[in-house]
Amino acid sequence: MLKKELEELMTFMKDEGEQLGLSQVNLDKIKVDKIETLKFTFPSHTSQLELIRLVSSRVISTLPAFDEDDLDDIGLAMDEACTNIIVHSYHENISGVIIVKFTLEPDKVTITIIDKGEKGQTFNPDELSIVDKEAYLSTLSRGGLGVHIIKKIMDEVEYTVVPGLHNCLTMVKYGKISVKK
Amino acid sequence: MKTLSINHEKKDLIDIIKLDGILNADTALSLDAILKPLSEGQKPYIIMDVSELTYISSAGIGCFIGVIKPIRSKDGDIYFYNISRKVKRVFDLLDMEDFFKFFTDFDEAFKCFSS
Repeated sequence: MLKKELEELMTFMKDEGEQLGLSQVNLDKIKVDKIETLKFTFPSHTSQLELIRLVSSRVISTLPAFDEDDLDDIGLAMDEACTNIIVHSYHENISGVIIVKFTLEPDKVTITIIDKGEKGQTFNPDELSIVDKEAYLSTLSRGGLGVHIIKKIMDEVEYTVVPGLHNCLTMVKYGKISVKK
Repeated sequence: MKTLSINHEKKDLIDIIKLDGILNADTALSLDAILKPLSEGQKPYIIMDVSELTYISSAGIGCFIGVIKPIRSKDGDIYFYNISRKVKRVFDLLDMEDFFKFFTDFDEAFKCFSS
């Protein structure tokens, strides 16, 4: 929605509210937040990872509550999430797609990543144990690191599977810098 | 698109591997191809010069984790030289800050192996 359309909507709401006889005090309490949504579709190939990371950081850089470190962290979380989708869920099948949706609020970003990989249907991130250095040495395990990083960086992480349809990872991050609304 | 260039040289039995670019799931395979045979050597002493490494993901750190056991079992090791704050942060996020040795002085890293 353009700025002009938003202003017209606000005027409409104010006029209608007054006609309905609502008090000015209550009208002033009405809050409107403009939330932007961006949706990208990327091919499932590791050559896309760096672009996904750079684009994600760039998208978040438009929000005032996130600093340089946040942009790096969110870019890393995106790389880790998409790596898991490409390598594990799609099992490196390059014909798959990764759908990334950013819902942007001044001090919050919600990132939804959807894939249709077969392996992701049976994945449960909660089953991955906390990173243990000794376990690395004994098993030489390289898996699970990405999920650990995502959980450390993002404030909320949820993985849901819609059987036969898709897998969905939702990650939320709140900005640290206070934003005057 | 930035990728990864790897420069590998040997000096007094120490392998010095310089990385320039980004180390993620896309570029990790080329580093794996160098580290794996080194880890199978007699006494792998490896210094990773990461001065020009601008980004690493867990897939990149996996390159080192994947070979560290056979390397240390032969009293070898992997040292990191001149790691940037951004790259070091990813090691820290994985609670690996004490797992590897990080040097800001190349000669010091070199001496550590030589002694």
